[in-house]
Amino acid sequence: MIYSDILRRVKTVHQAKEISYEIDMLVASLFKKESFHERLKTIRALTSEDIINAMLENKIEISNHQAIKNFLVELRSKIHSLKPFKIYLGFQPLETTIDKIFSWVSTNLGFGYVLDIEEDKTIIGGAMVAFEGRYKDHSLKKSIERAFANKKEEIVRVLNS
Amino acid sequence: MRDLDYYLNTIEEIGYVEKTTNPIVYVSGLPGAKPEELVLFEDKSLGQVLSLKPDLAEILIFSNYPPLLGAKVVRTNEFLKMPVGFELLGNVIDPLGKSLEDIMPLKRQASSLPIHITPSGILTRKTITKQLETGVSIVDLVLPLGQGQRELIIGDRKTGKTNFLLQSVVTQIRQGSICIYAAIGKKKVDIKSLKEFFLSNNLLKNLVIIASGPESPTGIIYITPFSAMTLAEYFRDEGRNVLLILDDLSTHAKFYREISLIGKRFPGRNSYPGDIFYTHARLLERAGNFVTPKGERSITCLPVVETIQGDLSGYIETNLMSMTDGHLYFDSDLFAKGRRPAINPFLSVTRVGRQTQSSLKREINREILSFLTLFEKMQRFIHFGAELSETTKVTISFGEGITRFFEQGLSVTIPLNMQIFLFSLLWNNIMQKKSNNELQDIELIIKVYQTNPAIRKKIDSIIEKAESFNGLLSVVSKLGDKFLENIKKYDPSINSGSE
Repeated sequence: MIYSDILRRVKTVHQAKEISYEIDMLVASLFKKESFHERLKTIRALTSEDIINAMLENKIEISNHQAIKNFLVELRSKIHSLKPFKIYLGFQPLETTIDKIFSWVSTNLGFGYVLDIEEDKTIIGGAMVAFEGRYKDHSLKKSIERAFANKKEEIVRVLNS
Repeated sequence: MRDLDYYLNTIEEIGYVEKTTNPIVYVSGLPGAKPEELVLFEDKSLGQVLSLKPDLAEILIFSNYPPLLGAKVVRTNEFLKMPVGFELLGNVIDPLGKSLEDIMPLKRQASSLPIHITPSGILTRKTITKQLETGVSIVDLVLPLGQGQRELIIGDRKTGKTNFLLQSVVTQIRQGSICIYAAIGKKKVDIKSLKEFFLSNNLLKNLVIIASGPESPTGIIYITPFSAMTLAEYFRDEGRNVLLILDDLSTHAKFYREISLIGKRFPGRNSYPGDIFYTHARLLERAGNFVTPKGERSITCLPVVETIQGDLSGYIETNLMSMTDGHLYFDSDLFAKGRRPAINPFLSVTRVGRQTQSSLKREINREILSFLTLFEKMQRFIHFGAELSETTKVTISFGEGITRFFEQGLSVTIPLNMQIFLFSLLWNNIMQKKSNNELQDIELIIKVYQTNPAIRKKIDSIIEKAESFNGLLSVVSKLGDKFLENIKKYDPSINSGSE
């Protein structure tokens, strides 16, 4: 099945969890009195348009509940299989910042990753990145610590002058 | 051990706890993790890499409380080590070298050694040539042990195994060895009574108890015998002979089985994992007689294993029998009959002990064994009662005397030369003729030997000069009567009382 458009919209772990939850709700509504279309209107993490477009793309009939279920379950498992790209920031990023970071990750690593952003004010600035077990500290805190360790006398002299 | 940030910044690898099944934790990440490498969790607790899977590392934790899901984990590029040093003597410590007694914190040790190492190769080993005295007559005369031997102590629970071990420790420490007692998964009350025994006998200065209790983390119980062996190797390299007691490996095997089953390893016989033999063999292979820069030094290892209803064919029991140099079997039937120690000489084996004996001792050994075999056969005729021939009656009565001679309480340890001398008195029938109360007299003779240097010197020289058992018997037959008549004069308790 083709999910690429939907998967490209999933940028963060938080979003992935939200979408997963909403997919569960949609699957549950398929065989209940409550209409699937009614439930589709309430979803927020994705738009109903996204899902309907994906279903059309995959040639799934709206009346075939079993096919819709299979489609949604597979979509959920695809979302679960997205690998986290952990990033520690000194601030809570805005949507635009997340888009920029995600665009960098997509360009450099390709698709199939979601950002797992954690706020850690102690790092002051910059970022720490953990990806597939590798860890890199590019934080301002570390740079300052390194500067103090290497150029302590110089800094003290400048501060005293 | 440094903090998490240090390892994070130097090694630049991170993992996250994905799943916990105490005592095993599954961690994602850590691409460079190596088997047996130490890892540090966010909560400062330690773990050891057990195995590696394509996307997860299986970690054995050394804490009772597993880390939280999602907690950070870092590699340390270090392997499990324990602090070593002479400062540890006299202490009860856990396998990571921390004192188990809160009263006195341990001094910081200068060095530490890795707990899991490859056993030394054949070039560093030497044939066992010196006898290890246990102070227990039946062992020293009939089933001798050598310094560097690995002798399994096997028997049902409550058959006197620990008593024998304590007697061996007493004798060895008095001879200048260092003893390490590994109490694996033992109750605190047992560990305390062990310490009190050693304290009351003034032995603590040459002894270390490495203990883990049933409430200790499973990982800690698992490494207890390995830590004890590491400490034994340290003292060996420092030029001391070491007696190492592993009490007991059946408990160790059970805890290792628990770890393996939780780790979803394929269960084998009795649900033990396939590598239980390897686990115990790589431990026991580290004992032996070694050539060190400070001369020939040994680690004599006495692993204990508990049988159920005298069944010697159990999995762990037979494994350990095959990797040790013999076993002493503590028979519950003999124990019930009142024999102390309840060692069954016919079901016990010593593979290298006899090669350490002098020709005199070997001769005595042969005499005793052939007589005990004859006595065992004769005992079958006992139920014929009055119909027994005079020879049979004499053999049986003499056999009972020999059996009584081998009876020994917990508080009694008999030096080897004294054992030979006493046995010669008994074999010459001098003891039976001259003594009204054999046991009392034996105790008195031992006491005199231990307290009177002149008597000790005389007996030692008689034994050393004897070239054969017959020669010794003829010397003893000349001196024995007089010796027994005069022995009461040397009784230290009477003399001190009269003063």
